[in-house]
Amino acid sequence: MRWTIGIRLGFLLACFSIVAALLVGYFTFAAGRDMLNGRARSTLLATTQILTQHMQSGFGSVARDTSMLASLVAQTQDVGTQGDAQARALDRDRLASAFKAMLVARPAYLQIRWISAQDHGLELVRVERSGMGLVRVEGDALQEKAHFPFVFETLKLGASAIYMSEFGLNREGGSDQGVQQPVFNIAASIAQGGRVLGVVVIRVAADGFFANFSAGLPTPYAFYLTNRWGDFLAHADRQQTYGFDRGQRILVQDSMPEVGQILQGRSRQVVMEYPGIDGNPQVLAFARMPLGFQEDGRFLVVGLSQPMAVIQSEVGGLGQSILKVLLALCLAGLLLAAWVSRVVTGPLQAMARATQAFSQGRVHGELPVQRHDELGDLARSFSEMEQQITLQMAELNASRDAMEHLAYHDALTGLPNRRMFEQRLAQTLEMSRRSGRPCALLFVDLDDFKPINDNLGHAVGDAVLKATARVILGAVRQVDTVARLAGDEFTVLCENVDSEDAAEQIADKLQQAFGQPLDIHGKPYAVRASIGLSLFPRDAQDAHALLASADAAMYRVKMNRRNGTS
Amino acid sequence: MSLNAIRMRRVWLLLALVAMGWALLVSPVHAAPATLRVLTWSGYADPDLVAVFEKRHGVRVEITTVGSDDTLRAKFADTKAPAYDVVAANTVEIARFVELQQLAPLPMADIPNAARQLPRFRKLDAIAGITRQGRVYALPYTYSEMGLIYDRQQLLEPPESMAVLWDPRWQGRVLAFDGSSHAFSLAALHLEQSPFRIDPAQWGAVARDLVALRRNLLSLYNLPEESLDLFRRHGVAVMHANYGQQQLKLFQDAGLDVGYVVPREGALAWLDCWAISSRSQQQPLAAQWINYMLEPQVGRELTRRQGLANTLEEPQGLAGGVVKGPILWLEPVEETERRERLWQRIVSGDRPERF
Repeated sequence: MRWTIGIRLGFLLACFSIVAALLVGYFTFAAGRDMLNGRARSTLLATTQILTQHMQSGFGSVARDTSMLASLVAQTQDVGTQGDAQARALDRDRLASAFKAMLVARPAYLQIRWISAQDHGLELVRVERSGMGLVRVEGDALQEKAHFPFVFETLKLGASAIYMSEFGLNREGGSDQGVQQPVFNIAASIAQGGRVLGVVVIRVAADGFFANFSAGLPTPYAFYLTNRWGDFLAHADRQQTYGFDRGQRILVQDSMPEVGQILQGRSRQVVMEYPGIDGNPQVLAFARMPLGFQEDGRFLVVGLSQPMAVIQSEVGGLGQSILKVLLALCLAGLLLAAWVSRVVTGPLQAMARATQAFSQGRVHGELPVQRHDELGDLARSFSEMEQQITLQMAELNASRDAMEHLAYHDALTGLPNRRMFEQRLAQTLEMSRRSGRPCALLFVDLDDFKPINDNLGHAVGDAVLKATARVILGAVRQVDTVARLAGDEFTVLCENVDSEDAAEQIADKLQQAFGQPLDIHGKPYAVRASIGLSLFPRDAQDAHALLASADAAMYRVKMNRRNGTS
Repeated sequence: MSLNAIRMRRVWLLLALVAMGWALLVSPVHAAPATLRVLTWSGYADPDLVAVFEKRHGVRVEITTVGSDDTLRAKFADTKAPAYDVVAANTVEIARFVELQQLAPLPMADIPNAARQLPRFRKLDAIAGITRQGRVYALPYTYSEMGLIYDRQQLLEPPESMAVLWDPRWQGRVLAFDGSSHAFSLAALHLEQSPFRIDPAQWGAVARDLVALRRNLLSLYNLPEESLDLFRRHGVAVMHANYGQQQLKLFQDAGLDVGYVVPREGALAWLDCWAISSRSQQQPLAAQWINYMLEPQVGRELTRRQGLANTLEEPQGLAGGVVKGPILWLEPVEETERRERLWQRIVSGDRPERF
């Protein structure tokens, strides 16, 4: 393949368009990726914040249930007064039924209790979920709970207060399910006449509670929860939770220092990237969630993580569509390059072909002279140059032809001159030798020509010579060669003369032609010619001898005529 | 330069490269420094202190840190991994390792710094679990005793006895740690019994004593931060400080006017010791490590950075006559599960008549 301008130009354009497309593609991809990553991060953070709001409203709804039960307890007569034992038992049975109804309605609730402010926080009514269903615990099995925060903190808060405990592993034994499982308690104070007489506590299974929210999350999300010191309470890896319960602090700020900013109150939310428990990168968002219903500075940190793969698959989709566009752009670039290359090189090639054809003298096609660009200029210049050259060549050829004619012809009569005659004679003798057919040579000389020139002038002499040439040409055959050797000497070379008689006939015919006067400038002018005939091969064997023989014959005729013998 | 000369130069260059490559391949076999593998708790051997030892002995030290006794036990017993040379563990774990013959007796002559330790750490026979048949298997490094923290505004004099925790005068203003083993030891001490060996006939009495303690409490705590929070918000008067002087420092840093005391009955204390694994292939180097760990500047850094007591100097928190009783190094208890079971019921709030 030749490294033509067209290929070079096309290659250059193709390279340029591919590089441009690649650059644009890359930067679009990078910008898109960053945008998608940013959006994924902000979406994750927004989801986390929405989750905290939902959780808070979830806590609120438990608080309303607790509050409602507390007011129910407050309405029973035995809370404040020492009623009779039977009425008191009846009241407690009714409350136990109400607690049961609540547990039935709320699957995440594990236990509902009415705890006295007296007797070290003795439980008065306790209903809980157990393996056998809902169980009411009575008698000796009722326990003292004053040392639990949900009792002493709630009592401290006073009338109509709601307290939410920390998340923790359930350390309270009993028949209920969920010993050692993560729980939280929400308590409401029972007040009568401004005196706080006890609390109602609802214990909620953290897992069941969170299930309400995490069910709404897309599956690749993982949920994290830490207390305000950073201990994990919920983690994608369960082994990381409640480490302090096993004498081991597993703190979020140790593995993810950014979350420390929330714990220290310097930030309300953070987003970051870390490897997940499976080692794959993930995005994590953490947000602060106030704990409880008082402004006491307690909070939890809620976190969500999403595998980067989810975001990266979106980025991958983006990359694929950009790649498709890129391929289309590259293809378009290639086509454009090919087209531009054709547009530029087509006329150039046409002109190259035209130049070639012109140099070989062949006809060529149209040139793009009508174009208004550089190629048009070039084509027009070329066309003008071609016309110029053609014209000059024609002149040159004409003058060469004229020169050639002059070299072989007599300028006055236009008849072949001696040089051409001798060439013809040699050719004819050669032909005659081969064919065996004789040829004849007539030598014609005007009688008394010299006096014409001397007396009437050279112009008349020339006119006589021209008229003589016409007469001779008119008298001989078309194929015979008539030449003027010099002065008034003419020769006629007749090929293929079959016989001597035929030769004599030609000579006679020529003689008769001179019987008529010549037409000189419209006037008749009688001229006589002496004609000598020699035949080949009868009279001579070569051109020179044949010419001499004819000359001699002519001379004999001229002498005889002078001596009066016709 | 002629073509031949260039060729010769290339040959020499190639030979030199081959020689260098060979040297690189072969040399580590001869020059690799010995590696000492140390299994310890975070904060016990910080990188800068380790670097000093590495430079001094021309060895490499590989530190593995653990966060719990369970992990320590698992890692030390792992026979698939290369053996640890040195281990830091508390006296209860050391006693277990000695029992299982996983430790090598210490070459005391190679550990001269042991002579610098405080008298109570030189009486090794008095520390249960670290000696056996006259051989020493571990040397104390750091400890934490579980004294009492009290509010100096409410208790003008440091309490003499741990009975202050049961004193109805402070009802609702007492904090205790939520841990079965220590709780029973505490109650046994209160009842003037052996803290680690409760007489089978006395279980009920000890449990009821713990119920009495519970009734006197504001609450039980798990985390030091939690105890600080409760102490501050509820005007707590006295607390059993499970985290010892670290907890005291936390309270003092938070601006609380608190005192610290080891009561007459004594204070339980964990004691972490250095020991050499019987699987170690370089016991002399391991002994050098232990000797280095007992140097005064290492001990001082441990106290300064971690707030943990070293065994060479008395900690400030115990100065000024606050030690009114013995420090009782933890020992394996008679029935861990029984203590857990009973403690769970006590914490849940079972009334005394149920024990």
